[in-house]
Amino acid sequence: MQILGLPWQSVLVLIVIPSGLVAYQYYVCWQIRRGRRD
Amino acid sequence: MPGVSATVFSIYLVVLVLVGIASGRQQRGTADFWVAGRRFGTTVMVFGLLASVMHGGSILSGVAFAGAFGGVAILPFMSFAAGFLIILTVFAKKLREAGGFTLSDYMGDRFASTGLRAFSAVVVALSSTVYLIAQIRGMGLILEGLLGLSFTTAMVVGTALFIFYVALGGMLAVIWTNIAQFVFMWIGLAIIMPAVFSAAGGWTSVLTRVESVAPGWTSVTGTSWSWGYLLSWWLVWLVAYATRIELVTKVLIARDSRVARYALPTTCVLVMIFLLYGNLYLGAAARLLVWDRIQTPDQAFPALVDLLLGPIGSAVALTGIASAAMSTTDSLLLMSGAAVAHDLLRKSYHEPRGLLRDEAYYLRASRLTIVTVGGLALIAALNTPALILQIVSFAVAMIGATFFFPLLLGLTSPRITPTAALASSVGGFVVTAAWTGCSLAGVPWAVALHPIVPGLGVALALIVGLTPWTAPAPATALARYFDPGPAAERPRS
Repeated sequence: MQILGLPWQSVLVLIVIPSGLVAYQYYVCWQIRRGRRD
Repeated sequence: MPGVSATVFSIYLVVLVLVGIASGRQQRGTADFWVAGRRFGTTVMVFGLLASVMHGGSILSGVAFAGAFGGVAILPFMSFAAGFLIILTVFAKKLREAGGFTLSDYMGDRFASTGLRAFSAVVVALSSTVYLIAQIRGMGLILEGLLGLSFTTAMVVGTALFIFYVALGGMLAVIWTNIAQFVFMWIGLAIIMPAVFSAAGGWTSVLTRVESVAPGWTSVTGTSWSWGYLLSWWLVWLVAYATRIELVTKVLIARDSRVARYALPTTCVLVMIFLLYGNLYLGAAARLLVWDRIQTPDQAFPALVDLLLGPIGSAVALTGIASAAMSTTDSLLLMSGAAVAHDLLRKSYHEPRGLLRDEAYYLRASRLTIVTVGGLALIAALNTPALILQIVSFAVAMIGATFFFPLLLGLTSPRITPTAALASSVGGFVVTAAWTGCSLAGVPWAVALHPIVPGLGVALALIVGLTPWTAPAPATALARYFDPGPAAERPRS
């Protein structure tokens, strides 16, 4: 299966997993801003 | 072409010189010089972080590497994101709040060890200077092509310029020139986009075509890498990004520990977008359009620019690349200078011996150090053997093995002891350096494994193995990094 010209495994390591990790970084920042994390 | 290029590049140089002079007027002491008075908010931090991470090689070597080995394989985005996450969740708050100027400050203060501070400073100074030498040569190559100067003249002109503004304005000049360089870099990359689109097609079209020309190019392992090599590639970049000194040191200049952390995810996203376009798409386009016209992969980006843009467009695009090269060299020079003037002279020699000097003395010493280190790096770059350029590709591994566990474990557990941290740093560095030497000499068992793997293994074994048997750091040192906890707050009976 190709997505935007890339095999699905490449989309996973290049887009999906890194995006998840960055989303978690934003979540941590949101927790800090709301005072839920020091 | 050199006439147009010289005009475009001269405008850029004037901007840098003006920034250097303006920043120089704001230097009152070493806190202004090394950490710019810790005045920056999130937006400036993002620009500063981006410019220090994205160097000239990010585009030149990135396009070359992607063209040769495959665009997905060479981009370890998972490692970038995980490395940034470690800085965000473990390092940034405590490092910023402890109030040090450098990574060696952390090593010396957290473990109350002058020896560890001095060893860290030597590793930072050596690795930054070696990296600086390679970057000066890279910058010389770019300026040679851009301005039609000789390679030697190009290196001297470029190095003299960044020594000037770094010595004058310190971190403040680095940050403001980084922003100017970042803008030039993006203009340089953006200007080529319509021409590449017109010549090679859109994203999906380019990737589909490059896969048919170079089977495996879009796969996870690329055209020729094994899974073992790819896994060590991911590990190297995870550790390299978590311990990348240009990145970790920038955390120290934020206005407060919140700003230091807020800037990280946005920087991470922009790095990825930058590399998806600047490496993956342009690498694929280079493979399709210019691969049969070049002798070595390093010529891919200049060949692409030459093929697709006119004289003015080429000048702007290559000035963008030259500016990216400078944005890393100035950060490296500042780090080498800080390691010598602040960590070694002031903190490891003067202060332990009770030798007191005023801020004006250290400001003068810092500037003199910057000029000296920059001059020595230039001389080395003019005469460098090929070996230095080979060693530099392993420098991130040596830095990673030296600092990763003392940072990661030292900031999460007060139990980690000075002896264990020193052994981990020295052991990790020595094993990685020795393994690198064996790899470069072509020893078969060494070539089979990236030096960071044994280096990290030894560093972890030493820090975990020695901690239970050695004495922890004094409470006064730990108080800067850890809450005293309920036991310490309990009233004495």
